[in-house]
Amino acid sequence: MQDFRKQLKQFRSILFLVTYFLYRLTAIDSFMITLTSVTKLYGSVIGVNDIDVTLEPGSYGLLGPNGSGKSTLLNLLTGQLRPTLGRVRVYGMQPWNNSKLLMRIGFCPSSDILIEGVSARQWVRTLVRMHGYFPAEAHRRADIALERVGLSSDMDRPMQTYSKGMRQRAKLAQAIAHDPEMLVLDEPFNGLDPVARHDMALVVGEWGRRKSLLVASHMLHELQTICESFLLITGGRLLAWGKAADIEQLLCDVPVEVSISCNRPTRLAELIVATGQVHSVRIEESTVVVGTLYPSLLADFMPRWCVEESIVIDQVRAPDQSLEGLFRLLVQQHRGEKY
Amino acid sequence: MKQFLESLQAVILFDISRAVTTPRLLVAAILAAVPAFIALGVRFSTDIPADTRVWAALLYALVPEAICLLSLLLWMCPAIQSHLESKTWVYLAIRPHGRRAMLLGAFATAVVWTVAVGVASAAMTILAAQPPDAFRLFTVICGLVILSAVGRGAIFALVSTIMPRRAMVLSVVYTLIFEFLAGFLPAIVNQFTVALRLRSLLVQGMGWKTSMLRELKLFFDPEPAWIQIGAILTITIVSLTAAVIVLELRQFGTPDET
Repeated sequence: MQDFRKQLKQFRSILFLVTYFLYRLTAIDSFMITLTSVTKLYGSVIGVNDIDVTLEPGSYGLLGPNGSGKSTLLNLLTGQLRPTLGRVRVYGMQPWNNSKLLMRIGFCPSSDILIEGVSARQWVRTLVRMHGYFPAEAHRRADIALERVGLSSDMDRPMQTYSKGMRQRAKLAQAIAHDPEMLVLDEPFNGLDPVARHDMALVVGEWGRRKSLLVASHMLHELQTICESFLLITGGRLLAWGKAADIEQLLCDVPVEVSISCNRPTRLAELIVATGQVHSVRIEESTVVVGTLYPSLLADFMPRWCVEESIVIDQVRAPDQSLEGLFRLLVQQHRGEKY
Repeated sequence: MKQFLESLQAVILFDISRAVTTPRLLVAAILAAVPAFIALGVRFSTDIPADTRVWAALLYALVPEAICLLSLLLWMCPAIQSHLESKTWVYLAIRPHGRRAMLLGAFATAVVWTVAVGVASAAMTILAAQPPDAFRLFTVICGLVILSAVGRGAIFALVSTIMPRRAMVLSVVYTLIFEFLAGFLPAIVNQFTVALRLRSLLVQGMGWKTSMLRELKLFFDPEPAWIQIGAILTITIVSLTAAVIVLELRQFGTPDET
């Protein structure tokens, strides 16, 4: 009896351990990206700085101005760079030189393709074959990918004869041809005309509805229609991230700047300060720039001020209630500037 | 392994298909033809006796040394350099085993190209020179072409990987200092050069070992042929392994780093 109890105890311990490891395994794998205190230094220059974030599968827009660390972050995620500090995990695996992981990722770098005398079909076929596919299968996948990006009719032309938009589409085709779980795109809209941007957005958006997507761009409006969540990065730091609704909630909590051009800016500034509902007021020539959480209040007061104080207002400008305003304000907060 | 071999094959086929262009074929044809023209000039303008040794020495200097080196310099260094320095690198590096497939693929392509040029050159030169014992000379020179391309290609691959921006210059400097200068020094240092092994194999392949001048023996290694071939293969394996390690460990960000 005692032996049986002992065995039962052992069995329970083993069962617990197995369950625990299975839980840990699935818990790790359920996250698409886990960055733990990730810092990347190029000598004394900071690429990304102490980034902590966990992302589940989905479509994400990585937003930031030029030089903010977007490409560094993408290179860390695709295993082209190693973090100086911290830990990078993609699908629970470290990405550096990880062939297993590279099968699950499609990457479209920002750099242009400048290979002479090679057609898009030949190029994409070669890159698909590098995933271990036999020639026939690689050719089939390459052709499907090129068709999906709308390059079927031009895929046998040398790529140096392509327009910028066509080269971008060829780049996208090489990234999606092996049907990865996550597609990582670095500035896919760079250098495209409006029509090409629209076409590219359609292809990328369609992908984002089916599979995971991470798109880096410095143009917010490009990502708004494609991604459901956003990461805002600047100076190598991740300022905020979340769904569009979360970002909008953030927007409610940060002051917006309203610029009012008028004939008596000093007097208008006095009146605005007197309301006690503003965070900051500054005068730029004939414009009063007001930082407030309640921009609608200004609209209530302004007609009265115009009549009673003989203030002639030429123009009122407020940032649109989009991520643009939030992004600018978060950057200002990050820099310690007043808003 | 299967994935790596598919990768390697894909890179080789891609690089070879890129190589078959009119300008490159023209350069290869000119390279291959130069020794033949020199041989014709020597044959008709000088009174060199129809001795196998003279033609063997001339062919060796022109084909496995000059033509192979030039072909490798024009092929291996720019191939690696263009992959690493230009913007094609990242597209290969994000594939499974992409880094080593890129390096070994470029190496294999350079060897195939150089051997093709070298063998064509040897054939044309022998046809032009009409030396005695032509078939034996041709087979020996072809063997030396293959070993020269493999050994030096690996060394150039390593040099190009370490310093991609100055690959060509450093490879020329390496060739001048080690292959042409140190290779002729009767000291330990020449044991590590491909040139000494090739010269020794030429002597053995042509069967001159016993009849050679004593002084000249300083410039050849008397060890058997398998040791010479083994030494070249060792240089090749060590150089390629080192190049792969350098490539696997080095971080190459995208050129437009942000």
